[in-house]
Amino acid sequence: MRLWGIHREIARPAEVQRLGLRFINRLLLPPKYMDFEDYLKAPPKVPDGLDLPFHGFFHNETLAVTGHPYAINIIRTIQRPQPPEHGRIGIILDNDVFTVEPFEFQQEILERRLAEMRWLKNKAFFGIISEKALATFQ
Amino acid sequence: MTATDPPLAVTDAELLARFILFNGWFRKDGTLRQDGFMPPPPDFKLSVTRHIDLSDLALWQIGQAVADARPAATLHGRADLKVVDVKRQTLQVDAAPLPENLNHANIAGWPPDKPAQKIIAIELAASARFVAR
Amino acid sequence: MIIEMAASTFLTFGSVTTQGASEAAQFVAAEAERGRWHLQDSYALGLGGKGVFSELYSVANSCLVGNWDGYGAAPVSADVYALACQFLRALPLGIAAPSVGAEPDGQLTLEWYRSPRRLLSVSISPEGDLHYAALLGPNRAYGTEAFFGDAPRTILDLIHRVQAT
Repeated sequence: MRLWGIHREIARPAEVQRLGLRFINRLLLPPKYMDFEDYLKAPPKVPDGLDLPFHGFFHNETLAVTGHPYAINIIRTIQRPQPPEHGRIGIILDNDVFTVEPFEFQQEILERRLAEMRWLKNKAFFGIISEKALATFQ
Repeated sequence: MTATDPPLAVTDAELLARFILFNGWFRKDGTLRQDGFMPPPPDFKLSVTRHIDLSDLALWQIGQAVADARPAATLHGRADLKVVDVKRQTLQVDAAPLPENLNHANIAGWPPDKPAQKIIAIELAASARFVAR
Repeated sequence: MIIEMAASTFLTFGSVTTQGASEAAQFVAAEAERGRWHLQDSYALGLGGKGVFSELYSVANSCLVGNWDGYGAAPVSADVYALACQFLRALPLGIAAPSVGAEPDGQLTLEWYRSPRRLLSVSISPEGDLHYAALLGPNRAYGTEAFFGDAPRTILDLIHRVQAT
């Protein structure tokens, strides 16, 4: 908010056209571990009758929050092992709550919107990960 | 002014020709895109040639001269439009004879706003007729 | 049904995510771009598959040097070309393919056309403005929308109106 205040003072923007709150988390799986259902509540599934290992996936859902000007963009994907975490795949959880409804420049409106968006972001995040995944953050 | 020079006053009944050197300005169905009728900045004067007194051959010769002034250009055709249709868009046609083209004229009086220019250009393109070379 | 829902979501909310600078954000962006390009390559869904990007390149290339129209036209700049690519990528999958042109001021145009009195033309300016004008029978619509990465709803609406039977 401090940086936002500085930006407002210098640039004097007329209107906020888009407000977004985005959190990206990366879960490191144990070495050679590929059981996503232990970590995700809605894991990717191979087609029935094709018992093949995953090489990668990229799931992107955009949800509209009915009755409110918000949308939630949820991305789940995996990242191949990166040095120095050799052999460990990362599950990336990307939650982006945003609104494109312009609003007036008032501090309380901005803070209220951010609080609402934070609540949505948390709801989405805890709705995606399992208890086991949650334990890795603690 | 000589006896063979075209009159300076442009009448509503006249036909104007806009030479087409860019193949993106006409569609496969033989209609014309608005792009070819957009006035160039900074003076926003759209260059045309009055048909009056000119034979078809003479008209094409003028067009070819425009093409020849540009390296490797092809004269694809011309867009013929009526002065009355131009004036319907609240534009004016001003005779502007050139040494190499005594029938030269400019379509002027364009609004300064680009979208307003575009909608006028679309209307002109819709009323014009493409004549292939 | 899925494509309609996707299109309506894009109409309402757009497709641009909140910008991120972290390594994870850059990885997600690259993967999303790769996936999107893969779909754009399809003939059924993508503008890439329909040859629009090839046409864009061809037109821009023809207008690299000034006076490309014989009347002193300005060249099409790299900025305009890049913005036109971005705008095309921002359009929803499954949208009708536009044709590409250029104007004497050096701006590229995208045109959705049904007939001489049913069309939409969008000009891409180097500053990122989208100047549009549409004829829908006796009705006219024209104006300017700023392009920040999402295809503006006004323009998407006009594309649908031009294409509607």
